[in-house]
Amino acid sequence: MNKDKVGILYLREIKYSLRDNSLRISFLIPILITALFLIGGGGKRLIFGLNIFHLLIIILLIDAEIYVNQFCSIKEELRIYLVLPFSRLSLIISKNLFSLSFILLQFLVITSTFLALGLFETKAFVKTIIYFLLTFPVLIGFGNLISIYLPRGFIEERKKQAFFSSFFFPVLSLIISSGLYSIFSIFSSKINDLSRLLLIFSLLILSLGIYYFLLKLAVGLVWKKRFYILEKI
Amino acid sequence: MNAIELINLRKEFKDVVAVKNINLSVKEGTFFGFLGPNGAGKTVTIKMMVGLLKPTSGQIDLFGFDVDKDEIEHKRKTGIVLDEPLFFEKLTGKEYLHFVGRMYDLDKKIAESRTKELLEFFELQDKRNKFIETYSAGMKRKISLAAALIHNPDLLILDEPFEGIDAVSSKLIRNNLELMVKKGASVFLTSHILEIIEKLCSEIAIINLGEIIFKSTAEKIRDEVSKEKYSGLEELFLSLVATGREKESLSWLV
Repeated sequence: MNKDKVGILYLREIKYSLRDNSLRISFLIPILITALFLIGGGGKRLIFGLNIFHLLIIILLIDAEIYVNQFCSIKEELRIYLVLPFSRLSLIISKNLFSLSFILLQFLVITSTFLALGLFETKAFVKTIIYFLLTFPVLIGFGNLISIYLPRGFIEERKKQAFFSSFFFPVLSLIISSGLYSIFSIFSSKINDLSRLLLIFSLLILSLGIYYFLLKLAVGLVWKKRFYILEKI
Repeated sequence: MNAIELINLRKEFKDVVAVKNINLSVKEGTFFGFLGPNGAGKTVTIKMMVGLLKPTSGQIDLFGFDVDKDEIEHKRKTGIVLDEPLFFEKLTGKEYLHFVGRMYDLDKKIAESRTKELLEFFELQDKRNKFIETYSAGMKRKISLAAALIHNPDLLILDEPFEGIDAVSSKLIRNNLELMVKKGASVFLTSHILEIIEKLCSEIAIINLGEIIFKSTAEKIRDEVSKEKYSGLEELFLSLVATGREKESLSWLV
């Protein structure tokens, strides 16, 4: 992997995405939901057993998988990437780093909003950070694969066709990860602090390991499936 | 060494065979013209050559590297202009050229200076900070050409590069392409402007209905012309691909 090229690709991704209407709109979604929730007098209430802060981060993760982690969602982009000399690993890493930046930035916005409105709860925040750390690497790893097997284009007329494939798998993977996290929460509430810390650390290593495995898989697959992706987006 | 080697290259689209097992070699330092009427298989061949279309069968080697297996090396040596967009619409011309230069491993300063020079050469300096999506068709073609040239490639694959480009720029580009070939680079060019092919190319192949029906050097073609067999490349081309159709006309115009 060439670090220089990862940096160049990452910067291009940022520039391009800030100029893309779909991404700009998706960036606003969690903020809009926060606003709607507050207008509705939501306060610190729980929804589906989840603190609103936690819920927003989940929405954010769906967002990241659907809108950001689209491996080459624009045909021209993929064409350019296929004719330029750099490794697939550099490309996927740059896209994943961008996804991370995108979600962290939104995380910051939501946290600041909650702080400013006096709705911030340290316990909910810590829980969300743990959830985020444990699930993000796995989700983004699966996101890479989903984007290869179910490439999603931004082309207007294909959006309808791609709806099911766009939303189904990211949402499914998120439901599974939330379920696993719930099991973790229940289990971790029954053990002491040191054991809990060790468990979190072990799960984090496992999560990063899964990401690494899925990344390797995606790097191999994207070359094999390049014509299929080109055809679909 | 051959810059391009097409071995039994074939492309089928459902019931249509777009390219029928063609074999073609282009030596390094050759200005190669690839001609054919619309739908002959030129663009399909080029797309397979640059790795954007999967051949049904056959092999493509660029500088000895199998395009299907080698991911990076042959690309470092190649510059490409396609008949469809190959740029990021929401980057400015300056940003895009700089990005391409850096992806071709150019040092930051060199990428910057070449970007500047290319923008001036293609008369795009006034539009350098505008998004490419705001460019005219000719300007988009120019930015594609500029991107193909930024790394001083050993092989240029150009599909209709002069389309929409004004006469002055076209002449300047042609001069520079000739200069590149003199220095040892190869150019693989398709163009509907037969005059350009005739003037520039040292070797010419004609493809029709997916088959290469003619391949010769410019020298031999000139010999044929001097023997008064044909008045020029245009007549030769027409005799091969438009047999019997030259005098057809619309009924209401007769």
